[in-house]
Amino acid sequence: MIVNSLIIKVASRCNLNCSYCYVYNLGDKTYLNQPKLMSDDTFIKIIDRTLEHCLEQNLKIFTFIFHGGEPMLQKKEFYINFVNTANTVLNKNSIRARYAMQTNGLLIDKKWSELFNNLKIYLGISLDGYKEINDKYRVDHKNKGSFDKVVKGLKIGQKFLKSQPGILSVIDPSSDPIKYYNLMKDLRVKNFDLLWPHANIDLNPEGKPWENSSTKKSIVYSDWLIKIFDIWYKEKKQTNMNITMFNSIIGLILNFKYSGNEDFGLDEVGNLVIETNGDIQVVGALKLCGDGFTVSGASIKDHSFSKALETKLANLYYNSHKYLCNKCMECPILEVCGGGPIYSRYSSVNGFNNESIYCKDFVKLIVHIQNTIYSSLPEIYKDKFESIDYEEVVGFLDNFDNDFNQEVITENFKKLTSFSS
Amino acid sequence: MKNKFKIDLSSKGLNLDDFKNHALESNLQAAQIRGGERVDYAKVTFRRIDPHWPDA
Repeated sequence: MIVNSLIIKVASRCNLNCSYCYVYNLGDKTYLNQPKLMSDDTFIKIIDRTLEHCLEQNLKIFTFIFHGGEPMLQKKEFYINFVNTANTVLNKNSIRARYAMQTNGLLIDKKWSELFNNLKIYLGISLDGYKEINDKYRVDHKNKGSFDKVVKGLKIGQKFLKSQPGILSVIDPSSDPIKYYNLMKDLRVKNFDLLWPHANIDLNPEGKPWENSSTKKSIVYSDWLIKIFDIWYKEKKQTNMNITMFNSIIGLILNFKYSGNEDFGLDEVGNLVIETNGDIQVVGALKLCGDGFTVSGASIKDHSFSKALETKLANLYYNSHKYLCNKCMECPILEVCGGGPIYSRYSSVNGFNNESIYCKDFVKLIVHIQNTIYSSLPEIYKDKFESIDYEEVVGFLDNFDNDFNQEVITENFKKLTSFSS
Repeated sequence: MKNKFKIDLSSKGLNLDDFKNHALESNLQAAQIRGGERVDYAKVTFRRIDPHWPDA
């Protein structure tokens, strides 16, 4: 099992208090036991473990992603020491390190930008859309919206950074998708991505129980995304904008290798999270499943990455697109969808033995993209391919016998249900 | 139903010239740059398994 990137929680506190944040506001309280900032001892151990893993797996490229909390609450010296040490240790062994940071953008100034340029740290900024939408969720500790400050930070970054920062937005289906898309254009953002809100079978994106099952089955997210996809696809040649989610789905439909990610496709998910104290965990979005859910007992001090991947939840996460419920395994679009992000499949009753809360959204979006690609292909390429119908796939899923194959208790079934409470 | 979902253009002897000024051109070029091995299109990939940063 290969880990090719680490999400490093260099600070466990944040200067924002976003209502949907899985670190602070969706039930998990483990951050309270974390040191506020990562120590030098911990980062040195991270680099040692990374070298150990790269040599063990013969990796030549490794990616470090600085994350939080808010990673810019950490000192500048920390980054200088981290990057210089990692480059020295890894380059000596012909391993190249890449660096990125996901920030809320509030503290970006010229000095930070120069530091990021010098250390070759690529920046992503979280911004959920236009002011009314962003400021509904992304607020400070006095409940004041962050939009104006984030846009100011983005513009400073655009002015001083050599690599233009990207934007990461959580989808809000109540917003106007075209207004969102036009904002990205107006802000001259060339690379952005859209995140499914962190929700699962039990809890809605606000961390509360879903009101009724019809809410769960709605396809408001795909309808919202399709409006953006259509205009983006039409203007793509002119705008030169990249939307990661759409490019990924296009790549998967066209059968390009390495198009998958932790959301879609069938690839393994080779990233781990290092908490501020050096604990090794899996994707933070799984904190939504309960207080302490992601705590594995593994630590950078005592465990190699390979050992950490042997822990139950890390192993399941790594194989997110392999260990799926029966319905997913038989779904016609499995190779593109891959079951969706694992956190969206959890319920306290069945563990991870469910289709995603966003299942029908995935079907509608993926089928729409497949149909759009098909219809835009030059005629000579259409032979032997067919567009597929949304109703056809949903009909299949709705009529699927969920007890199919359950007489034989499969390895998947045991793994998935073992997380039920 | 499974077999008809993917559109594997490589199996059709893909010719990039057929996609000049087509919406998919950049996706196909990106795949070709990497010899069909890697689609290096996405730069905002912090939660992705194999991020495609701009090569510094």
